Amino acid sequence: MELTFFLQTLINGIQIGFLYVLMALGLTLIFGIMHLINFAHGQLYMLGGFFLWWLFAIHHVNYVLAILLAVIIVAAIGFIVERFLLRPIRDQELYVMCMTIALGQFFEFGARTVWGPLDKAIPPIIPGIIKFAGVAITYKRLMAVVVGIALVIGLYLFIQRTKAGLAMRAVEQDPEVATTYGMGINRTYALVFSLGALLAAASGALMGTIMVVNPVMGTAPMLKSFMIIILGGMGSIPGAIAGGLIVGLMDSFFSSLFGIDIAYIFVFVVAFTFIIFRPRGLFGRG
Amino acid sequence: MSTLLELKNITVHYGMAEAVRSVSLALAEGEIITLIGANGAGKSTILKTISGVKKPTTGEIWFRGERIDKLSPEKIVARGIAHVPERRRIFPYMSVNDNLKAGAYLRKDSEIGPDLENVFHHFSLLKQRLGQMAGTLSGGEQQMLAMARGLMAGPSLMLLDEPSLGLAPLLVMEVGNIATEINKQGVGIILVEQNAGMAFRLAQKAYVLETGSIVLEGDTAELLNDQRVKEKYLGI
Amino acid sequence: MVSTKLRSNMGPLITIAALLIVLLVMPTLVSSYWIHVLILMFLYGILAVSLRQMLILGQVSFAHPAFMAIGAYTSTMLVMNLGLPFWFTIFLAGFASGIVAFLLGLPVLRLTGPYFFLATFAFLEVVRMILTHYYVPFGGPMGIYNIPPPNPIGPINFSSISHFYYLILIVFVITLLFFYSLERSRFGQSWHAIGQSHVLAESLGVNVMGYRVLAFVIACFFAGIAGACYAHYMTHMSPMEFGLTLSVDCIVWAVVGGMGSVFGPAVGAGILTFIPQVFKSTAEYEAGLSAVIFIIIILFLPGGLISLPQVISGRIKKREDIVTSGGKVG
Repeated sequence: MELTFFLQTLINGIQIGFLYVLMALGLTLIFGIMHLINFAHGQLYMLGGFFLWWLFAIHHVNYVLAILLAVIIVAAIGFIVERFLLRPIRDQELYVMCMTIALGQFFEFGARTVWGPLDKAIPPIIPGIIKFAGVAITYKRLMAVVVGIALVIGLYLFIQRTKAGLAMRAVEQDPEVATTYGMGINRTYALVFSLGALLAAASGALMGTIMVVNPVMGTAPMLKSFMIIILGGMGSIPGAIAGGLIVGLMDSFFSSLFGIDIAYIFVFVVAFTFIIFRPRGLFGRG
Repeated sequence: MSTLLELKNITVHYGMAEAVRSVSLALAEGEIITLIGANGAGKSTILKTISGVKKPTTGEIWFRGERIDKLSPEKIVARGIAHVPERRRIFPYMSVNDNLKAGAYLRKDSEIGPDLENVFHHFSLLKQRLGQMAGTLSGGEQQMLAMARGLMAGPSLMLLDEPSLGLAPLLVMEVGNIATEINKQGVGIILVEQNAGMAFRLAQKAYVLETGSIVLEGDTAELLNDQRVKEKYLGI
Repeated sequence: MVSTKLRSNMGPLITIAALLIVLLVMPTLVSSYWIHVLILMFLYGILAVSLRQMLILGQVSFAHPAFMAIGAYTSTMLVMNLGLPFWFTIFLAGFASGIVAFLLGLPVLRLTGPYFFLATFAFLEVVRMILTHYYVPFGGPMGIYNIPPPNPIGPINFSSISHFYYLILIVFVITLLFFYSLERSRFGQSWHAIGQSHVLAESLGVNVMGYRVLAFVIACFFAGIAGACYAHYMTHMSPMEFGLTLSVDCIVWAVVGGMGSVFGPAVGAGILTFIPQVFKSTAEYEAGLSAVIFIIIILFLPGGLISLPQVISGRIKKREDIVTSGGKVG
């Protein structure tokens, strides 16, 4: 494989990887702390993309503001969902799973009804390509990577340095003791779910910026994210980061070398192997 | 002395099973009382009911003249009751420092400085291990951390659940000494123990529990001479 | 906590008998289009009822369509390539699914909750991909065409849709009877106990893993049988039909129908297959409407549609009264 091809595939892989990372982070936080698999995650991602498109492309809101608003709107949707639809059935895992499935279907239906089934493109903010060493990367993709990294760092700081983050970690490790020190489950769960939704929306908005948005864009990345958090370790943040990047790279290389089908199935085979032989993944805890 | 905490006819169930039956007890300000009894006698359940983790089926709990048995754990710790749980249960994947901060979660940052100093005064070894992951501490160190975390909540009442469990006798002595010092600073303590010797050394008043009910209560000085207590719990 | 008592069964038994009689005479009453819908209702009912066996254990399997596919493709290939008769291959289909389930189950059934679901989902995708990718035995993404109908028995030569109707109705009823008696057997109690708390069950000496494997093999056996019937009835199938959508649908049917009884998922499958046919004109809104209905049922009727009579008569008041272990997963 020539160097240029390798570098190009590598760069693409990293860029896709970061978008996977954002989505997987949200999913793994929700699973690690709330112990639920959010089947609506893909649709929250999709809604992030759509709200960005709606604000920026249709209403000509400033791009930066549009992205901020888009993720905040979806975070708010997440908050409402958790408070009124998930909290009443909190201890019943099967019904929670079904609820998020239903919500995912509902969001997809909503997007399709309101905005139609066709692809929508987001006009580029910084057009153009940057080239070096024979490799090309559009400014859009570069920006996505930068924003992705910034969000990951921001998340890390939030979890490690703020009181809310402390509560999240405490509730994850011992919810009963956490409540006896004032770190309530209700508030923490609301925060975690909204945060997860925010991360998914950010990923969707960035992906929409790079490519297109459509109502069904969320399912495939979400399914991949499931595999990512298995690989990285369910509930583990470093796991989500490592897993997302690894899968992004696998995607990129395998697609170029062997085709999309093989790339897709390979992720599942790897994840399946991990689930059987090392369920806690790369970085998961016990 | 005024009453700090009072339980009136507390009954607690786990599902259909009755764990605690009609327990009444009282603690005065600045007092140390102990609940002793064998495994499964209901002692830990009583503490959990006080801290709000478990709700009583019937009965009332009064803290400083306010009824608290229907409050959530967050509200109860805010009123000054800290629960140091059975088996320590420090947050294993957090640093020692973060565990302490967790204890002080509800308090304003400006207030906790002196308490932190106080904690380091009582638990000097923690000061050197602030960055260490709590799960890697030894059993005795974790017990210290659990108590320190409780102290960081700035309580006027501390619930100590079997602090001697799994600790070497020397450490048990040390834990007991620290508890006494904390109490001298004005914190009331309810000590739950299977190790009656340690409990009697520290507490002024004792309640003996068997299968969920109080079978004996009184000043520890007197109970030390009680035949039943001597045979069953002191091994004499 | 098996709910059924004989006394409270009389009402449902009469309903079922009446329903059966109606179903038997259906082909004379309605057009072949609706017969087709009924056939689908029966096939999906088999899937939903067999999946319930796993759901009450607290294991949410997303691999059910994969086992349906294994049964479908096994029977089809044996009939078309080896000339074996359908009446033989239908059982081979079930056994094939059962064997694969056994092999898959050994490593995967020790997992619980989300781990189990993700493992079965990964399996689903792998199976689908294999079927899609390999043209040679499986026909690739277009699948297999011209699947022959079952071999004639006497006058029944499957030239008319009502022949298929009665065949699949019989399979459906046998399935229901089988799971019904399974439920009331000593196995039934153990399964429910494991579903409530596998930790507790294990401490009481119940062989949790053994029961899980048994349930999984049985459930997938029936999925395979349903698959074989599906293939020879539809005469055409492709891997797309055995994917995530069907997985989710099976779970929805079971939950909406109600898991407290063997008949619940059948009711769910039946109603949810039937209703979209009735409201064809509002097809675009169907997805949204069914999502909303699903949400309402989860929040307010967790026992499913089949618990409606009991809720109305006031016998179930609180979520805690629901006699199903479907609330807990893993």
